[in-house]
Amino acid sequence: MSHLWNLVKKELRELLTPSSLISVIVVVILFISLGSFMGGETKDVTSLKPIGYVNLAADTGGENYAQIGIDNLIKYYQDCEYDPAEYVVPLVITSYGTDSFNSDLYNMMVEKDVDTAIVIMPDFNSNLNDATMKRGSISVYWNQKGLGIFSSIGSVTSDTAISIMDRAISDKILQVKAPGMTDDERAIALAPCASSSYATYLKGTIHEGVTPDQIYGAMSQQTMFVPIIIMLVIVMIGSIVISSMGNEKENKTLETLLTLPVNRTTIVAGKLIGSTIAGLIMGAMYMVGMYFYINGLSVSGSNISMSDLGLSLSVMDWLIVALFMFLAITCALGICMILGAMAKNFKAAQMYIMPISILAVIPMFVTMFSSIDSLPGIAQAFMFAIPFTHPMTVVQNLMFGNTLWIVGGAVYLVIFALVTFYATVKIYNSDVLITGMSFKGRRKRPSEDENEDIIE
Amino acid sequence: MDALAVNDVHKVFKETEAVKGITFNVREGEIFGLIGPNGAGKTTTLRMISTLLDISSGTITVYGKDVKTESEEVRKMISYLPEDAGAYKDLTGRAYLDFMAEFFAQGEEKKAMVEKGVAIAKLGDRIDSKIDTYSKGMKRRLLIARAIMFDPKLAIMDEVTSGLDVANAFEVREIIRNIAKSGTSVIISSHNMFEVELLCERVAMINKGEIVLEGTPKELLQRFDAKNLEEVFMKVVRG
Repeated sequence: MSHLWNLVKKELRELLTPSSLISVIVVVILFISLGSFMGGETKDVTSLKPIGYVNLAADTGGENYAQIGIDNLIKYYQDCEYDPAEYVVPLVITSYGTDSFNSDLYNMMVEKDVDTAIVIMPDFNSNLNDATMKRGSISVYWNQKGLGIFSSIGSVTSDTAISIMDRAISDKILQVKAPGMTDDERAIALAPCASSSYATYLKGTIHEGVTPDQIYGAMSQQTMFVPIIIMLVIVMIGSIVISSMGNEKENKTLETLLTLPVNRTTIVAGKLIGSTIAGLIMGAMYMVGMYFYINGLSVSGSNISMSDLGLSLSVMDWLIVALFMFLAITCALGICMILGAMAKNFKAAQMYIMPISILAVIPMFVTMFSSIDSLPGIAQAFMFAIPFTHPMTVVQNLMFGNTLWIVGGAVYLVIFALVTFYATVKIYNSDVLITGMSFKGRRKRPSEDENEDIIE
Repeated sequence: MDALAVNDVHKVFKETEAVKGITFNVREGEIFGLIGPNGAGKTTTLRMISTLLDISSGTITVYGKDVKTESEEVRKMISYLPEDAGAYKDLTGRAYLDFMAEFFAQGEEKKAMVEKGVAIAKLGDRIDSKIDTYSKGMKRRLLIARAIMFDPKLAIMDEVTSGLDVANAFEVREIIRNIAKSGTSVIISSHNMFEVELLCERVAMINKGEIVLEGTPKELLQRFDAKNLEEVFMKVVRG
């Protein structure tokens, strides 16, 4: 036991160095700052934006539809608890019909700090008041300031404004043109179809007043957060372990270790336990950073809790998630130690990081953008065979009660971990660990250089 | 009893036979040199003795224990120092010795072993600096200290002074002489014939996986009427 602990301490000292921890801490800080930045940007996208208006519509003596529309717009912002003086900004421009109108409007938008402006055309009221009724026209102007996903203005603000004005103007038109209609009748005429109720079935249970989007919003942490964390931890710890193996071989510290009076199983177990602890520590650190990042991205606006949907996890469920994480890291390290053992030196070891990264990225993308259930049978079998699929899907499987995947996954991971552990011990007892493995292809006679490389 | 007995040992890597039936022995308290050019099979032989590589055929015993079937017992008696070996660079010299000593002793005995290692390494205050900051000579002294601080019965050293300056190489040779005097048997490999002539009581010359000559340096010089072992080696190789 003391030999094992000595080896575990050595692994931890090697893996949890200030330089490796600093790089993780920097990434975590980056995630946290990115999360708060994204949070600000996404909040910005979903909130109401100021809008400027230029009312050129002449008062033709009939109904002042332009003003009715503007008044309703002001009321809407008031109802949404926005100060209309700040958010519905009148832009006074007298140069309409001259060459300077466009530049005057731009200058006014910059001065009043509005990115969207609507110009209600001079014939707006006359068109609507005319016996041969025509549509009132409105021109829309945007001031694009940035090119980021979240800095794009889009047409939401102007579309919203126009639809709010539409509603009030339509109501007035109906009052004028169909004076016999009651207020309720006019409301029905304006929106004859109404979605009386909506519901979503989840695990066979109906949830009234809940849309699939709201469910996705509530679950976005599980569908995005867990796979990304697991992928990051596996790639990072894989890269550290394979590089450390390459270094040990290059520096011949491994040769020294293997000639000590300690059996190979203890050496392998020491490496595995030490690396797993380091992996879990780094994973926990990433989890904190990623939590802030994903929280910043979440724009669902859903106030539905997981327990409302019957999707909350019990303490036992979280222990199962932790077990899956532990098993996945052990499997990853087993694969890495086999790959690392085959590398002759540090440089060769770098090449072997690729297969483990691919194995981690495939299930991450599948679980983030689709679901395993929707894949054809052969693809499902392929996904099942990748050990990292199971920790990435375990939260969803627990929520949806996919017992077969949970039990099957756990058994598979245990078997996979044991097989890789056994294979690693075998390799540690073989020449491959010292001589490395060449994938240059079998030839009848090795070259002189290759001979010298093997025989020293 | 011989400290080491190598009997008709072969080592085959796929299609290549690296060691072709070599036989030699190392006596107790003796410094034995295995000399030969690069690629001759010296390191492969030392790795088989150290339990790092499987033996394709033949037997190797260390103080009567079979390397193949009693490898754990053998590892308790040997100490192997590979050519250009490094140490864990994030550890201090003392922490490295402490880590290694833990495999051989506990408590006060371990402390005494570490102090012995510190004394052999002669690194002064730098023993508490990180290994990463050591020069090649300092690193080599630390590794030799690691290799002999627990009084192994057989020390196996591969190209022990390779890359060291004159002063460091001299000191290393002194350390090896001292451990042999205290009863440890030593087998060193080298392509530096001059060093072997200075240090070893008996030598075996290996070329293309075969022992081509064996004896004391003095005997070999007389037999081939040569000024040094280098000349002996060239005469043997050229026929």
